[in-house]
Amino acid sequence: MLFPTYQFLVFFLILFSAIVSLKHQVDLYKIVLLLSSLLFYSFWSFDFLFLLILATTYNYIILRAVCHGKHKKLALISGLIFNIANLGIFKYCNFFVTSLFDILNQLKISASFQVLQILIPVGVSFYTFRMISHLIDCYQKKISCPKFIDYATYITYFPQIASGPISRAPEFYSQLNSPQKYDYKIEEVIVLILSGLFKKYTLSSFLFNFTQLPFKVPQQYSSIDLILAVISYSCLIYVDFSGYSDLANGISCLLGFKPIVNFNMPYQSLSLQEFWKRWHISLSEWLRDYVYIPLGGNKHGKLRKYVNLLCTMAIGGFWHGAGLNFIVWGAIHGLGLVVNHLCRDLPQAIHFKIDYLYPKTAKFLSWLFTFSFVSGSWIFFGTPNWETAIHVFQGIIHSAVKSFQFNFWQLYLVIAVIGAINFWGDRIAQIFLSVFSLKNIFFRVVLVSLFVYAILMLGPSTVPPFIYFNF
Amino acid sequence: MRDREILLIATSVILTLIFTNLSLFLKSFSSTPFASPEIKQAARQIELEGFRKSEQDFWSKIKDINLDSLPVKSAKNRVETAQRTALQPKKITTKSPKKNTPAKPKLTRPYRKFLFIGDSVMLDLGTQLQYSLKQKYNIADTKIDYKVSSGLNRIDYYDWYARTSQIIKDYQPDVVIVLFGGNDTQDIADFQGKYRVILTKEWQKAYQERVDKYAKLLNNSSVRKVYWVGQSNSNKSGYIQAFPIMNNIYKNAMKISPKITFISTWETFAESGKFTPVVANKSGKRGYVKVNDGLHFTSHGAQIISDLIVDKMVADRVLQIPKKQL
Repeated sequence: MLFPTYQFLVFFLILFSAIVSLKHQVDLYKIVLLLSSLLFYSFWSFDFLFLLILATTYNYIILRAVCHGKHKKLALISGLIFNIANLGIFKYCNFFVTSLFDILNQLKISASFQVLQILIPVGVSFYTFRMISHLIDCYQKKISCPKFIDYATYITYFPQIASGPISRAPEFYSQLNSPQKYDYKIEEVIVLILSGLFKKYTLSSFLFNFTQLPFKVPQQYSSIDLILAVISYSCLIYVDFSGYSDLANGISCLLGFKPIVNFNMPYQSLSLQEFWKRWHISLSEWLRDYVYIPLGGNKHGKLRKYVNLLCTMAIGGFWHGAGLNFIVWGAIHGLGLVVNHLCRDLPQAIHFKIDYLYPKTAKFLSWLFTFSFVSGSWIFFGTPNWETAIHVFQGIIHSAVKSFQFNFWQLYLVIAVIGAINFWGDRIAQIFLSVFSLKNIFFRVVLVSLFVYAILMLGPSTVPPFIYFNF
Repeated sequence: MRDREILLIATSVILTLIFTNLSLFLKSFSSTPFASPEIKQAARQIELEGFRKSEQDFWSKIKDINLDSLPVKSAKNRVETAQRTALQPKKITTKSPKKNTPAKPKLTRPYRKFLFIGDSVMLDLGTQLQYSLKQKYNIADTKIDYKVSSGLNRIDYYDWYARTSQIIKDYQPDVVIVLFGGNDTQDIADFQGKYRVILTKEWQKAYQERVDKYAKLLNNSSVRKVYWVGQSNSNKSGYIQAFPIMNNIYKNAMKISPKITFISTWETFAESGKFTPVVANKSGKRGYVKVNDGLHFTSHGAQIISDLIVDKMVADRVLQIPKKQL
C-alpha cells in the first residue's frame, strides 16, 4: 500500500480516528499500532508478513540471549549471521545466481540445474538494519532488553517499514512508552504532508519520463539531452525519496512520534563529506555507527581511515541494490570521500590560494564540482547495468545525435523549483508554516484543499512507484 | 483537540476535493479495490478532456525520438541496407534455379521503419529489439511508443486507438510490433458501457471486441506487417489464469487481418507448461527472465523474446541479414 493512494487514506483515517483517544493509554496504544502495522504490511503479501513476523520473533529470542544469556557474544554473532543471511537470501540470491551463471558461461561450462526466483520482501533492507543495530545496541548495553510488544512495534512500525527513515530504538521506545506523545503542530503536519505529496506526486512523477529512456537507450539522445536527463535523475531521486520521508514524518507526527530529519537540502553541499551529512541522514549515521566505527573509524591512522571509508561506502552501495552498478556507485563515493579527506588532511600551506583570494568563486566551484560528482555517480545508480552507464558517459562527451529533444520550459521550471527547495528549503518551509498557522479552521480547509487540488491536477495520470521501494 | 482538528481538516479537504472535481475523484477512486462495480462503470464513461488530454499529449511528445536527427552515417547505412535487401531475392533465385521451381522473384520495397507499441513491458522489449535491429540488421529507423499502466482494456485512461492512428500517420512505419495485456487483467466496460467481471465469458467477448477494433485499425492503416506478441508464462497465479485466455483473443485477431501474425511466447519461459525462472538464450547463457512482479522482463528475458521476434521476421523475410555479414 503506497502513501499517496485512496487505500492508504481510508486505512489511515480509520486508524487515526481509533487511535486519537488511545494515545494516553500506552499499552492499548501499542497493541493497536502493532496490529495496524501488520495489517499495513499484509497489503503487500501475506508471505512477506509471515517472514517479517518470523524474523522479528527470532531476533527477539536472540536479543533476550544477548541481554540475559551466558554467551552474549555468541548470541550476537548468531543474530548478525541470521540477519545478514536473511538479507543475502532474499535480496542478493538472484544476483549471486546470475553472477554464477555469468562465470559458468565465461568458462563455457553448461549449467542445467534449476533455481528458484526469490521475491524480495518490501522494506527488508530497512527492517534488517533496524534489527542489526538493535542487537548491537543491546550487546553494548546502550539499551536494555525491551518487551516483545515494544520490539515488534519498533521493527514493524508502518510509516517507516518500507523506505525508512531508519529510526533508533532508544528514541522510539521513549516516545512509545510515554503517555505524553510528541506535541506536533497542525501546520507542521500539513506542511510535511503537502511537501511530500508535491515532491512525489507532482515533481517526481513529472521527472520520471525524462529519465526512463535516456537511462535505457542513451545512444538515441544528444549530449545536452543526456545532461538534462542526468540532472533530472538527480532531482528525481531527491524529491522521490525526500517526499517519502516527508510523508512518513507527517504520519509519524500524527501517531505521536518526533519527525526524523532525513534530508537537509543536500544539493547545496560544498563537499562530498557535507553531502553525506545532508543526504539520507538516517542511513549515513547508521553506516557510521554500525560499520565505519566498528571497522576502526579514524582511530588507527590515516591509511586505515581511508580504507574504512571506502569499505563503508561500498557496503552502503551494495545495500542499495543487488548489482555491480550499485557497488561501483558506492565505491565511487568512497573514493570521493577519501579524496575529500585527503584534501582536508593536507597541511594548510598547500591549500589552494583560490580559497583565500576568491572565496566566492571557490565556493561556487566547490558546489559545482560536488553537484557534478554526485550527479555523475547517480548514472551508475539509475541505469540498469554498468555498460549502459558507460554509454551515458560516452554520450555526454560525444553523441552522434544532434537534436535537442528535452527543450521544455516545464522541465526547466521543475529543476528550478527543486533548486530553490535545495537552497532555500528552510525559508520556504517557514513561509508555509506561517501561512498554515492561522487559527481559522475554515481558512485552513480552503487553503489545504486548494493545495491538494493543485498537486493532483499538476501530477500526471500515473504515479510511478517510489524508487527506494526497490531497496 | 488537535487530533480532532486534523480529522476535521482531512475530512473537509476530501469532501471539498470530491465536490469540486467529482469526475477526477471518480476516475481515481475507480482504480481502488473499494470501488463498487457501479462506480467503476460510471467512472470509465467519463471522457478524458481538457488538462488530462493535453498532459498525455505532452508525455507523448517527450517520448518521441526525432528520427531526422539520427546520425548521417546510420542514414547512409540504411539506404545501403535497403538497396541490398531489395536485391537479395534475385541472388537467392539465381543460385539454384534448377533445383526449385520458384515463383518469379518480386522486388518488394524493403521494410525499413519499425514501430513498437505497448505498455511498460514494451519499453524493456522495445529497447532490446532496437538494439538487435541496429546491431544485426543495420536498421536504425525504429521507435518505441509505450505508456506505463496502459492497455486495450482501460481506453478511458489511455486511448490507444487514437494514439496509434496518430503515430502511424506521423511516423509511417512499415512494421508494427504490438504487446499488450499486462494491465488488462481487470474488469472491463464493454462498448455498450456495461461492466464485465474479469475472465467471464462476457469479459472475453468485450475484450475480443477491443482487440478486434485495434486489429481493424492496423489492417486499414498504411502498415505493411504487424506482429502481435503474446504474453509469456509467469509465476503469478493471476497472470497464469488470464494470459492463456488473452493470448487466444490476440490470436483471433489474425482472422481480422492478414497483416497480423501472432507470436506465441507462452512456452518460451516454461518447462512442461510450468513457468521456469531461469532460461538459456541462443548462446547458451542462462539467466533470470522476469523480474519479481512476474510480468516485466529482465534484460536477459527481453533478449530471448527479442530473438524470437527477430527470428520470426527473418523467416517472413521482413528482415534480411546485410550482405556484409553473410
